[in-house]
Amino acid sequence: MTSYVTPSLTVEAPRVADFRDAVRRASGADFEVTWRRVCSDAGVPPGAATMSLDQLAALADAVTNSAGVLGVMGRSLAVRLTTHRTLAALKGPRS
Amino acid sequence: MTALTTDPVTSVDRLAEIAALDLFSPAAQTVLDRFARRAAQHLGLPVGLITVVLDDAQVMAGAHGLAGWMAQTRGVPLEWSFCRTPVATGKRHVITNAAVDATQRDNPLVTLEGVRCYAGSPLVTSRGQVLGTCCVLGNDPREFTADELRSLDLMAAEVVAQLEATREDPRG
Repeated sequence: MTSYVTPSLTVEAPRVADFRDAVRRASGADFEVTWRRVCSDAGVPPGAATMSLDQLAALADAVTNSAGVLGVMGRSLAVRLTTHRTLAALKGPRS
Repeated sequence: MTALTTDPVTSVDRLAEIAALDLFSPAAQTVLDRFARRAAQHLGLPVGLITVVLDDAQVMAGAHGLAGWMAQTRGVPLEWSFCRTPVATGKRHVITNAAVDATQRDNPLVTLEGVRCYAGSPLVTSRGQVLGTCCVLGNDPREFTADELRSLDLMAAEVVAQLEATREDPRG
């Protein structure tokens, strides 16, 4: 498991690779078709190795809106991304 | 990222069970918030939660008493989740003083957010899958009586009964 956590109250944002991994685990042989579909739904380029936080948020929404296990995995990534953004926004006043 | 292994938390069957139930709709949140409030009030603690533990994060599907950033996110990364343990074991989990608990004393929710006590009863479906917990948290060390823990178990069963009524295919 990738370590997302540092000793302070911060969480690293999930990466494109984490989304691809979730789609691969949930979709198996249908990975390419599913990946292209969620990227299309999110309006992000399927070949991108990195994405902005807004693009990742759109991708998280698209994966979360998928049926079945993939949707659950998408929600997991969405929680991590939301937590990252929320804590990052609070970091200024806290530090 | 968590691999899908024999770990019950990342089991595909468990994630499929989560997907088969209405756990995250606004209607479900209204119902689950009510259960969370009941749990907190019954045990006299500031926070009550109905959690759903996903493969890499926990969602507070029902919540009472959350403040600050957690009220915004209504979720935490899996590695900060107290509820991961009862989901993994299928058994009620109690922490009377998280500051000295070997598994949680380094958890940022303990070191930075001040959580000290926790009791969580697993939400076990009729198919034997554990969705998450009905749990309570507080900021002071605390013992829980047998009656309190029994009531938490009963409430967890009530939550599951309510959730299973939403199953898309009850025969499936």
